[in-house]
Parts: sequence; C-alpha cells; structure tokens
Amino acid sequence: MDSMPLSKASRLFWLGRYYERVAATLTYLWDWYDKMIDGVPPNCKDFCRALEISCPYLSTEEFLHDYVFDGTNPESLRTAADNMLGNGMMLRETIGSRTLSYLELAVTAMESGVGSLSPTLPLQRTIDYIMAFRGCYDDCIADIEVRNIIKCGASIERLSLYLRLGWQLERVPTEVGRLLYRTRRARLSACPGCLQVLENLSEPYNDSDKQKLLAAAEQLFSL
Amino acid sequence: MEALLAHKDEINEQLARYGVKFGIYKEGSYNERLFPFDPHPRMIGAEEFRQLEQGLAQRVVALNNFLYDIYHEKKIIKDQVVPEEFVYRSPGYLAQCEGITPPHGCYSHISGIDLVLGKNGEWYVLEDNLRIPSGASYPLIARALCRRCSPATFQQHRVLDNRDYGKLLKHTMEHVNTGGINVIFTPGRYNAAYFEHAYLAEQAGAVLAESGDLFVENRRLYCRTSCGATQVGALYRRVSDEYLDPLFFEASSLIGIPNLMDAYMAGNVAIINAPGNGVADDKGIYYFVPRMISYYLGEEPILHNAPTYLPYFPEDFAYVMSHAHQLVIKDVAEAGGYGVIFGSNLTQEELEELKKAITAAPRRFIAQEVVDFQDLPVSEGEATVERKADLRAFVLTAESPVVWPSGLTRFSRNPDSFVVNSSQGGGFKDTWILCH
Amino acid sequence: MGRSLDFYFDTELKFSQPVAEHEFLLRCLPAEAPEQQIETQNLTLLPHCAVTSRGKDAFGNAYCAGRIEEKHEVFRYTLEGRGHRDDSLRKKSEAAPFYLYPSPLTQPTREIEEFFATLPQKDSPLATAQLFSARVHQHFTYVPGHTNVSTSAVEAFRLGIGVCQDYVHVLLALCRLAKIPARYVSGLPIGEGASHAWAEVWEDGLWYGLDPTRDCPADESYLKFCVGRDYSDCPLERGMFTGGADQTQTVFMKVTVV
Repeated sequence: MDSMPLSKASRLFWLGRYYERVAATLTYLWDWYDKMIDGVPPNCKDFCRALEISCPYLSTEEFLHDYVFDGTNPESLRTAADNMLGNGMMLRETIGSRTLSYLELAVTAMESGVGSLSPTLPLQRTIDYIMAFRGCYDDCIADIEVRNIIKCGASIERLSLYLRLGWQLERVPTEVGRLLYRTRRARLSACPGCLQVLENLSEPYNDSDKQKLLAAAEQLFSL
Repeated sequence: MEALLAHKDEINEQLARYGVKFGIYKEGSYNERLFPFDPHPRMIGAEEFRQLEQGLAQRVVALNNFLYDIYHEKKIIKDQVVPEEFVYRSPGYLAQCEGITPPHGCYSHISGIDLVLGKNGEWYVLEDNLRIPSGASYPLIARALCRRCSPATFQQHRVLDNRDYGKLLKHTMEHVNTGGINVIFTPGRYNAAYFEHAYLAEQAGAVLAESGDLFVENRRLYCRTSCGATQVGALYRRVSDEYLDPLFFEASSLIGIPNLMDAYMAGNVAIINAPGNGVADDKGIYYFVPRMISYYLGEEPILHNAPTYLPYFPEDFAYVMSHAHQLVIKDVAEAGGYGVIFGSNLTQEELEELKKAITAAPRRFIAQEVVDFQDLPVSEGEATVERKADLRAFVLTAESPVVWPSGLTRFSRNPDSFVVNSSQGGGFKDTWILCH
Repeated sequence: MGRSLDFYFDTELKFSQPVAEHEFLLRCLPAEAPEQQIETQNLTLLPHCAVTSRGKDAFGNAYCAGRIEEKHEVFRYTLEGRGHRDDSLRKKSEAAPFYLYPSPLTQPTREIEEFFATLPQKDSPLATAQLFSARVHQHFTYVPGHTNVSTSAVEAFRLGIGVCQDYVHVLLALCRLAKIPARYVSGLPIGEGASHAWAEVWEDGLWYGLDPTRDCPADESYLKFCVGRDYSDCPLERGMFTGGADQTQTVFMKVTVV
C-alpha cells in the first residue's frame, strides 16, 4: 500500500457513506415522485422520524423539493451530495481527477433539477454519474485497501437505510456479509463488540435484532 | 483557430467537470468559482521564447544568488550595490533564516515571473514571485481539455507540449529531497488555490497533506500514513512563511508544523520554496534585479524591468516629483499602505499629498512608467474584444533553471483596467509556445 | 575576576485537561560565551521526553526541541547549573545588521518618534543608550497584568505601564532610531522570582547590558539565556499541543553568588 496520510482514511470512509446516501435515498424516493402524480403522497414525517432528522416540511411536495434540493438545509440530500464532493475533492490525488469528475457531474446534475417540472430526469443523471463513479474508482484505485475503505462506508450507509426504513430487508444479510468481508480487507480498526454483533446475528431478525444491527453497523468505525 | 473558438462552451463545460475552481472569501464566507477561461491562446514564437527562456533563467539564477548572499556573507550590501535598508526593512526578510543553507543551496525552486509585452514588442518583467507562485495548474489542465475538444486545432498548429509540468515538478522535488517521500503541504480545502494543490499532487505523484498529517520528531519531518510514520524528504509547502512553524514564526498559526524549522536547519528536509525568499521578490528590491544580474553573473540583463524609479535616490526623487502625474506609484510597506496608485487618476490636491508622503519617507515608495502593453483578443459573447493581459512564466530549478514551455496568461475583464487578478473577476488563457 | 553563579530555573505548565502530541521549543539554556562560561548545566523535563534535539537558531541561541506524544496534564522543565561571569573576557564581534532595524514588536510610530526627538544624544552610543534607558524607566510604571507577550513597544508606550519586556521594547525602538544596534536579552539576574529581560547595545565591537526596568547596567550579576531583535525572536518556551486546554504557568528561579 502506498503512503497515504491517515486523515484520508476518514475521508474515504465518508465519501463512501455520502455517495451511497445520495444514490440509495434517491432510488428509495423514486416511487414517491410517481405517487405524487395520483395525489397519494407518502408520509414524509415517518421518513424523517426513521432517519432521525428534523421534519420542518409542511407537505410531501415541499419535502421532495427541500429535502432533496436545498443546499442550505444541513440534513438535505443536496448537502450530502456537497459533502460527497467535498470529501472527493480532498482525495483528488488518491482517487484521480477522472474519478472525481463523476462526482462533480453528479452534483451539477442535481443542481440543474432545482425548480424543474420533471425533477426525476436530472436526478436520474445524478444516480447515473454516481454509478459511473463507482465503476471508475473500482477501476482506477489500484490499492484494494483504499477501495475497501470507501466500500465499508457505502455498506454501512446501505445497512443504515435498509434497517431504518424497513426497506429491502431481504438484502440485509448479504450486505452484512459484504461489510464483514470488506472490513477485513480495509486496514481499519473496527470496534470488536460491533463486529461480534454483525457476525453472530442471523435471520430471522426481530425488532430488537434490527436495532442491534443498526447500532453495530453505525458504530463499527469511529472515523 | 476558429475551430477552437467554436468549442468555447464545451471547453468551459470540461473545466467545470474537472472542478477547475478557485476560492474567494467575500463578506466572511467562502465561495468557489469557476476560473473563466478564454479560448484565444497567447502565442509565443519559438525564437521569441528562446530569448525569454534565456532571460528568465538568467534572472532566476541571479535571484537565487542574491538570496544565498543575503542570508550569508551579504557581499552585495558591502559592495554597495543594494542599500542595506532595502533588505532589512523588507517584510519578506526573515532574520530567523540567517546562516541557513537549504539543500543544494537552492532557494527558489519554483519561480513565477510576471511579464507584460510592450507595444514595442519588448517583454518587461513586472514582478518576481519567489514565495508561492500559483497558477501553473490552470493552463496545464486547460491544454489537455482543449486538445480533447478541438483535436483539429492542434493538428494545424504545432505547439510545444506543456503537459509534463507534473514530471518537471516531481524532478524538482526529487533533486532536493533529503530522503523520504515528496509532500505537497496545503493549508486545506478552503484555500483559494486548493484545486491546484490537489491537482499538482496528483500530477507529480506527491502526497497531499495538511498540518495535522505532519509532525517533527528528532529533527525529522514525518507524515502519519496508513503505513505508520513516513519520513518526508521534500516539502512543497503552499503555506506562507509566517504560518509555517508556530514555534519559530507566528505563534498563533494553526496551519503550521511545529518545529519544522528545527528539521530544516538540521538539513533533514527540503522546503520548497525556501523560507525567507520574500526579501528577493520585494517591490523595493525589484529595482535592483538588473544590477544583481551584472553583479553576480557579470552579464547584461537580457530581460528588462519596467522603467522604475526609487525616490530614495536623489536623481530619481527629482524625476518622480516632476512626473508623478504620469507614473504608477507603489507603496512597498506591507500593511496599511497606499497600495498601487496611478498618478493620472489623482486630483491636483491628491497628487500634492502623495508627493508630501514620498518626501517624508522616500524609501517607502517606488515609481514606474506606465508600460503601454499589447492587448490580447478575448471572446465576449459572440464578439471578440481587446483586453490587457500579463504572463506568469514558471521557472523550475533543479540542476539548472528550466522554463516551462507555457505559462499562465491572465486577462482583465474590464476594458480600462490593468488589473488581471483572478479575484477581480479576470480570467485566464492558455499560453502556446509554437514549434517554429 | 568575575563571579561564579549558581542558577536554578523551574517552570511548570498545568493544563486544565490532558493534552497530547505536545511539541515544544525551549530557549531557557544559558548562553555560552567568553564572558559567560558554563561549568555545569542540567535540563530535566517532565514528563520524561525520550528524544529531544539540541540546535542553534539564527540568533545564535541554543534551543532544545522535543515532542511528547502521550497524554499529560503537566509539563515541567527545570534547569540547574553553575556558570562563571566575567565581562573583562568579552571578545569583539560585529553586530548583525538586523539589530539596527525595527522588528515586529519594536516598530516605531509617531508617538515614539516624537518622544525620541525630545531626548538629547550623548557623544557615545553607550552613553546615549544609558540616557534612553533612564528615560524609559521614568516613563513607565511597573505593573504586571496590563500587557502580554504580544504587546508591541508602541502599545506599551501608550499605556505607560508594563513589565520588563515592555521597557526593553521601547528602549530598543529608541536605540534603533538613534542608529545604535540593540537587542533583546532574556535571562536571570541574581535573586529569586521570575525570569527577566533586559537590553544590550553595541558599541565598538562589544555588547553592553542595560536594564531599563531597574535603571542599571546589566552586569556580571546577570545570567544570559538568549537574544533576539525583540521578545518574539526568543521566547523561553513555546509549545503546541492537541486538546483544548487552558494552561497556568508557575515560574521559579534563583541565582546566587557562589
């Protein structure tokens, strides 16, 4: 492994968490835009409660605009996208300008959706660019330990969203497996107690298991 | 050329895609802006460039000799070529660097020399930047993107390739490296030139680090890396002298590396550029650069300064007093000074006041003739207009000075302005060195 | 001739909470010169610091640099030893030219220039500086706590109150206006209490100590640590650490004639 300042590990990890937060949450919200057409909006209060974020939105319509696009809201997806790019910018020489350019494009696409009558089109491009970013970093970063730090972040973010939103729960075991595999190959020091929980809990999960898994995943690394 | 101009929007899109930005602080908040690019290149012919190369190399060698001399024997002062007070009152002079010899005796590894081209076809040096000259990354990436957007242009025009800047930089660092890795030391993401720091690190294969990543122990500089503490042999710092080491310089600095100077004085790390270089690129010292060239090298200066007067000398004082209305007057004092004043913009009263100030403290001022420099074409919407532009040439010194065959050409947006600074809304151009 | 001095200098820094990665730079080491020969000296650090380095800065001062990685709540450095002071052994040397020019904390302003204009000049630099020293002593009232380590000569002059550092800065500014090379000195005079600062002025190859705070020459009863253009060039201790702690400093020194 090449020399990389230790502080970059935390940036790589958060880069993984933020890109996955943007891509996965947008995928999750995809249906919501569709449901809005028929006038049956899902409840954004439940969503915010599950993610433990504030819910100042007066309607789902407002939520879909502000939570997604408002860069001045520190809990918004737009802020997550800015943080994704910000971490990427501080990793330019590690991940490469070519890889970084996809993050720049993803944010630009998101920006272009502000006030759009068909916001899912630019958001689709955002997701596309993040997918391209995933492919590109996997390809460009020779060092498996560096790649796996990003992937650990992404896995944790996924587990967090799945478990909090009760979404795609059938994928949780696979994702836990991936996280454990990546953790072993990331040269990061993981919390032993959390590892134990992740290694030992198996399906079917009851509610208390889910809480334990969530806590274990989110606290696995202190970065 | 039409082909390239037709791709203006695509080129700017590409620049945005690669995050070619600079940051500015306005009313306390930090904003990033795209650095506007104009596709009209500045073109310099092969023969003209050869002249420039020789002149720039000569100048940088003399400036390096000057720095060594000032921090050691001070022969140029003893021989009364440069008056002592211009050295010791210069804000860039660091007494803390007295007697220190940097690795290979090299002070200015990366020099940015600002020039303008006069209407008479002569190049004039306006300023030397020997501390942290920035800007090479912009034409470097712009060239790569222009080639992508308009390959035909570069088939028609034979232009010297400028894309080896990363290699040149790497070689410059390797040459003085005292054993260990190469590091580019950035004050952090919220620095105006952060893009450049990160991009150059990528291009030169150096590690980009912030103060928290670096520490000194037992007179050696280390980087905390995933492989443990790794020794640093060359530090290309993008942090200014006063903030470099809070134990030896400004104590309040939070972006410095404590005891870096201890490692440096022990000869265990090369600092690029060397601390204390500010004494050589000082506005007052500028006047003496042609004399330095004759003094140290026994040669005639190849490149000229803009005609400059020092009111400190009686004959120059008399000239400045009688011609103040047509001169540019610069206050060389660092803080709370008058800045740069165009005599022609002043009312009679203001002019008299300025003359009084000069009479009271002649050493504080320099005066220059307004150089009538050539305008360059700039695209504005569909039209092409003429604007003032300068050129920052980059000279990298390892074994000997090498002039990078390109440079940063900055232009002013405002038709009446001579100010080409990026923070004032100006933009940049690529600089082509033609093969013939 | 001359006299032998036993010296003891002890500083304790207490942190309100543990600090780590503590880099320090100490200049509280006795200067070695023909007129100040050090027979014994011992510097001890607490917590013990495995690796320290000794160097010399551009002003010729000896320093000790080091790093304490682990957490600690107290940092203490203690210097003990014996030296011999004899001013008849001084050797002539050139004054570095920067001692003639204003430094960061001794920039003159109009107020100091006006004060300077009221002072007579004697026929030798030393005599002139002695007179300046007496006038600075008259101008100031010694009161601690109103100025700090970054107070400039001008700020202190305006206040008219200060501590030894402020007296010295104003004296240096005046000497340099009179084109007399002058420098800041830190060290320990005979007695007990805290460390002290005085000035040295250069005449005909030799440096002469002047203590404007006490209005007397700084002679063989002064043990010299370090010199600089002003305080900011040669603080006795500087440090940087991680951990947002406040620090309280306790200093004790004692110098006795053997």
